[in-house]
Amino acid sequence: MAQFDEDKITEELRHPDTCRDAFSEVVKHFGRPLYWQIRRMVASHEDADDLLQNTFLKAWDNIEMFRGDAKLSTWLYRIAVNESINFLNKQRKMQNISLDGENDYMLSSVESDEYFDGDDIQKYLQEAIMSLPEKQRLVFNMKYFDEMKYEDISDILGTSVGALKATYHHAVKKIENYIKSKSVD
Amino acid sequence: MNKGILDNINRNSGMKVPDGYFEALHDRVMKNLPEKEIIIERPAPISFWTMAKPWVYMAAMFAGIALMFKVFVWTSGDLSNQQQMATSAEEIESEVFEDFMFYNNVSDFAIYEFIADGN
Repeated sequence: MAQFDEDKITEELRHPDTCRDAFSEVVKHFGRPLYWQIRRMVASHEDADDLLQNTFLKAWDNIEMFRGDAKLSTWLYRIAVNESINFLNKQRKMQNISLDGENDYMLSSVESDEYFDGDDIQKYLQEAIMSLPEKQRLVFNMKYFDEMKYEDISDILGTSVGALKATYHHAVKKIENYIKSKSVD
Repeated sequence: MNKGILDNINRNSGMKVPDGYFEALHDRVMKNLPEKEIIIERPAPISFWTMAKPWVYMAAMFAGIALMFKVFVWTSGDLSNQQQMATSAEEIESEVFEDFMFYNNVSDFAIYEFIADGN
């Protein structure tokens, strides 16, 4: 697979004659990581697939707005995160779920997802992640699964590195306590 | 230690995707993207008024200056006319007085009084 040269692609995205081919490279390169980012937020494969399509569609529609001030990956992650959060808010409103009741809804999403075949401990981990508030869930997924640097997460979420470290620390504590309690049961 | 719990879990989240999903993803995404409208910026046509505007403004400015100059000269001329008219009035007044004195036998005292008032 050809090396992804972000500077070259960013330059090509600015020109109408090379824009579509460059965007094709973007989809090839970022399709998988963006999918997992979204999937870990919404749990369901079908929802994640729809949101990924929307993410790329929005990026394509607004490609003229991308001036290369931020990294391409940061810009795309930002769109994906916004899409995921908007989707979860809509779901919450449509199903009249309160913030307290969201945990149960997200847990049921994990259990009913036909594309989940983890063992018990992985299931507990997913349940623990889904029981986190949105912001903690986002930070935990980016740090734990994607192994992103705090600085990059800070660019995407617009939160200070210090606040992100604290958020991650709290998320880890909650997850560990949840898994421990499930293991004891 | 607590840290060990997460370290011991396989980072594969247990979530799966349908077979061939990522292989087909690129084509599906690209197929759904609308064609971009390529906007070529053409310079807007220049109207006659746009071209003539600076010349019209300049002409108006010169006309204004000329008009002001004309008004100034006319006003100055008017002042000197008024002075001339005043002088003529004095001359006429003297002539009338002389005629009056000649035809009406005015006394010397009245003449002195008139001259004293005039000074």
